[in-house]
Amino acid sequence: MITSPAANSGAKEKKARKPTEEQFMIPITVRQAMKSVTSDGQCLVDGRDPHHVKLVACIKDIDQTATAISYNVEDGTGLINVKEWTNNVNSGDAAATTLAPQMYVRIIGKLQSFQGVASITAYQVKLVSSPNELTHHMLECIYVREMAAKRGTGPIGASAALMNNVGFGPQTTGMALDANNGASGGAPHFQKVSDYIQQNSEGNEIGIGRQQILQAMTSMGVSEKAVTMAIEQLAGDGMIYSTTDEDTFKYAL
Amino acid sequence: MTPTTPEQEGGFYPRLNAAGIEEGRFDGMIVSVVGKQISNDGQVLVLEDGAGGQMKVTSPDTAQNTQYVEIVGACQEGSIQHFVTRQLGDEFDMDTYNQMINLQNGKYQELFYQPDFQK
Repeated sequence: MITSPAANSGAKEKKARKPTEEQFMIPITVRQAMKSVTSDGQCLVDGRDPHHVKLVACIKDIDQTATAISYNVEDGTGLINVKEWTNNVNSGDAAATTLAPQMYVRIIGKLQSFQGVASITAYQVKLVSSPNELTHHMLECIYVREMAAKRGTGPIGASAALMNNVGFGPQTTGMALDANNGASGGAPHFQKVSDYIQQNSEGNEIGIGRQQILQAMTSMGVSEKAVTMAIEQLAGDGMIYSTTDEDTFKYAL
Repeated sequence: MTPTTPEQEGGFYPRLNAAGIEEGRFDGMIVSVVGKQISNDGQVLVLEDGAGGQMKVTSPDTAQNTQYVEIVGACQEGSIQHFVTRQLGDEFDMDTYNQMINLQNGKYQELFYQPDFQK
């Protein structure tokens, strides 16, 4: 059932807030979004209803109205409409003027269907931090599909142990990354923050919040300022990226 | 009676490298190629893919591009007729992209392909 913004009195079956363990975000391609629509109007990816989806695609066209910005985006697998309500956009017109057709963007939002056609209501539409994000996103879609196949239909919490055992491509460790990125992170606390985010965002599709990182690091004797600087450095180097908001991070590699 | 080719859906275009173009499977279709610019004389743009292969794009965009570009166009007899150019900056990882499209065009077509074109 789709709850439209205007359906104040009509929502007979108001959806209860999902428990935390069911609030997950998965990376998908437009093709997966299109195939997710079921005959009863649900959107299921790998058998589950994702709380949020992440898409990396190229803008084909933009149409801005007073209440929303509508994008048609494509990623080589298909074309889909993405709607971003303007009261959700932090910088309002600024976002509309910096985005243009033929630019790749990262979209985070809710997958929905109407009359059998999939679309996305976006919370965030931003330029990709690097064109390599396209490649990374496609590989991530493949990775998540493999994980879903190995997990079967079990709850996502159970996949944490599984993820540590699945050998998918080269296993990058904190030490290897330090060798590649020696110029930017020689201090011990930098490595602690990096390792903490890596370990705690792997089994979690949304990632880990800034507050949680701060709490854990300060209890280990790292100052709040040092943690903040480390997070900025890691994000700037592309080793972590923000997911549902500016204070939630996931390890990139 | 010759079988008709399914119509390509909007937004669906296979991502190819030089080997994929040469294979000929997508001749006549809209495809995407990504590569490093080697030369552009206004008539033909030559791109190098992640495996070192070369791809030719006819009637290219003559505007200043970044070192790495994505070209979407029609695959015709071994070259690509230019439609659009997308800038991919100067630090694009071609090797990983090449491995990704091999997976995309191989084992994981289900996630990426219009069903009519899946092998």
